[in-house]
Amino acid sequence: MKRNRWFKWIAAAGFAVVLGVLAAPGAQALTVNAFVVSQTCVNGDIVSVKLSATVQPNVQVRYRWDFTNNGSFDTTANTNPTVTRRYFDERRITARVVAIRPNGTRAFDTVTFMTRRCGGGGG
Amino acid sequence: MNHRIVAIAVTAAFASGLVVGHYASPRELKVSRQGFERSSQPIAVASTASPNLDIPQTGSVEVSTSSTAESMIAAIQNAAAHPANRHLYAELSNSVNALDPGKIPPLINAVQGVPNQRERNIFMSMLISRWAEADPPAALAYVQAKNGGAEKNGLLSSVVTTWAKQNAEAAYNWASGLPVGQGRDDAMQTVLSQWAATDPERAASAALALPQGTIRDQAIAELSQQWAEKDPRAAVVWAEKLEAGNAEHQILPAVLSTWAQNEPDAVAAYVTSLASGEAKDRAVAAITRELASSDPRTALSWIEKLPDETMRQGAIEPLVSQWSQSDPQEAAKFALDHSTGEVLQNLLATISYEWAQTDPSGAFAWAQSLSDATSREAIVPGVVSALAEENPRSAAEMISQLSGDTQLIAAGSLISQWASNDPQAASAWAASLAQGEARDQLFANLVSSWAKTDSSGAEAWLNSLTSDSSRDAAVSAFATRIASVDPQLAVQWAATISEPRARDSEIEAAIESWFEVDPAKASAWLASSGLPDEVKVHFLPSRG
Repeated sequence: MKRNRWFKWIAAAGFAVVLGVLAAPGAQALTVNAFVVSQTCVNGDIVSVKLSATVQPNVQVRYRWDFTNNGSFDTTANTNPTVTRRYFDERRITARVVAIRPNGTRAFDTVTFMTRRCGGGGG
Repeated sequence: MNHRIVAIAVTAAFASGLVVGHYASPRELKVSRQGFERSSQPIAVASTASPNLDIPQTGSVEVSTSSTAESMIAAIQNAAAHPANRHLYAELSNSVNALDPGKIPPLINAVQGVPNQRERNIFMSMLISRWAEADPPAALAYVQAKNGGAEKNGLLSSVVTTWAKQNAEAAYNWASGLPVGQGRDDAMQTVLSQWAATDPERAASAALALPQGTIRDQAIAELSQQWAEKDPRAAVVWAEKLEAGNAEHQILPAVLSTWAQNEPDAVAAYVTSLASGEAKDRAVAAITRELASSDPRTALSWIEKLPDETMRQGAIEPLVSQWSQSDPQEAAKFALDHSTGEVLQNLLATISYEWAQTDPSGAFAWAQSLSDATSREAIVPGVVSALAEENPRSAAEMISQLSGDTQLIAAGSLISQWASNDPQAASAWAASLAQGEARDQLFANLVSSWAKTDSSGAEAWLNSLTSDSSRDAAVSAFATRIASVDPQLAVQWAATISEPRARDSEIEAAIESWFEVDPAKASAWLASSGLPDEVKVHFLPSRG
């Protein structure tokens, strides 16, 4: 009985250690969230879309964007996550971002959105 | 009144006299004896113990170098009774060092009776180390037979340290045979550290033979530093071989960093001679960081002496990064004065990141004061994100002080982070904002992040919203997010969008997805749905 109690304590301590390790910033897996900041009609049926991203945990990374999710990154690696891209209006777009840590670790995310309608034209 | 003052003065003088007298006069020693008597283990051990194992009543004791067990025990007791008397401890240490190792076991037993654990550990460590000098296996066996705990670990470290000083290879072989675990790791580190002092090359080979992991990395880092302090050129030759082997990229930069502290010019000449490539870049960065951690200006003057412009440029970011940790304002001033364009943007990002780790408010104030709008837009959201990780409500407060795109980006970052940790709180904050395009976009970003981890929670929140443009944006984002996994649900949600054109657009997109996944089911559902005929016609004939 007493032994069982010890096992419980040891198990609890072990679990706490595991939780502590997982909670440590260095151990936490990198995730990136891509999002749309704003959409502005430029002229005719062209929309300027501002995209950005944020990482968790908050570590220093560089971002690259693939504006059409075609597998080819369109920007060089930059510390500024925010980019602006022009699309036709009323289109469903998927953009992809990769966040790259100095040690090479990467995290990806996509953001899918409908570009706004501009100038009353139809898509 | 005067009488009272005189009385107080006299009393105070008397009290002072008592205090001075108390501390200045020779005192009798009582405490330690009582301590020993209370101890659970008898102080007198073996047949040599006299019934009068006395704690001397003076502050000093004669200890001859040919100490007997009895006199050593007395010396230990005396030192224990006078914990503040360093002279006694030094005398005792000398005596222990001159001790016949054969006399140590009974002394160790005697020391068990010292009531103060800290003092007991000190005496035990002295005796065990002396024992280990003469007979390491016996000393080890004694320590290993003790019950576990900090005391045992400390003694084990004493034995292993002594053994490794005398015969590191034997100690290494012994440590290698220990079961895998913390004890083995500790012993290995102790051995390698000692070995590095006497034979760094062999210690390095032994460290490299360890299994991959933290212990190996730490051991290599420590011994390469020791070696570089002692004989940097030999350490560099060793590190070069490893670098050429393409497996150990961290060692050469570490060795060069240590060397640079003593001979910066020689190291500059050395790195200049390296072939261009990652190894050279890593070396320059590591040296810069090391120098900047002591004094950024020293690092800067080292960089300025580098003959190659590419090398100088490559060194700026590590310099600024390290500098930002100690003095971000000066680092920022340097970056703004010495760089432009993308290089400047990257340096400012580095500074804001380091600054926000320790002082998010200071970093925020600085970032907001940047004159260039592009820089502000790039930097401020990152600072807010750093704070949001710990305190999203404070980050929300910061965002309320911003305007324009900087505010939109920072708000988007916050909502994305917050939604993944506490979507309810994030949604309450978003709902508190004024209606408009910015709120619509935040609702969309919120539900998009929320649905990644908790689709039903996001649905429940959507169900709680009243019809307006923000709800439409959120529903649209939700339908988009789930269309590929549950197109039927996406269509159903899209049908609830209030703005007709946006609704049709979302429905069509969701149906499109559905037809890609399950055309038969999509057709059947669409045919019987209450959607407008033009939508049905658009999809059904061509799919039929």
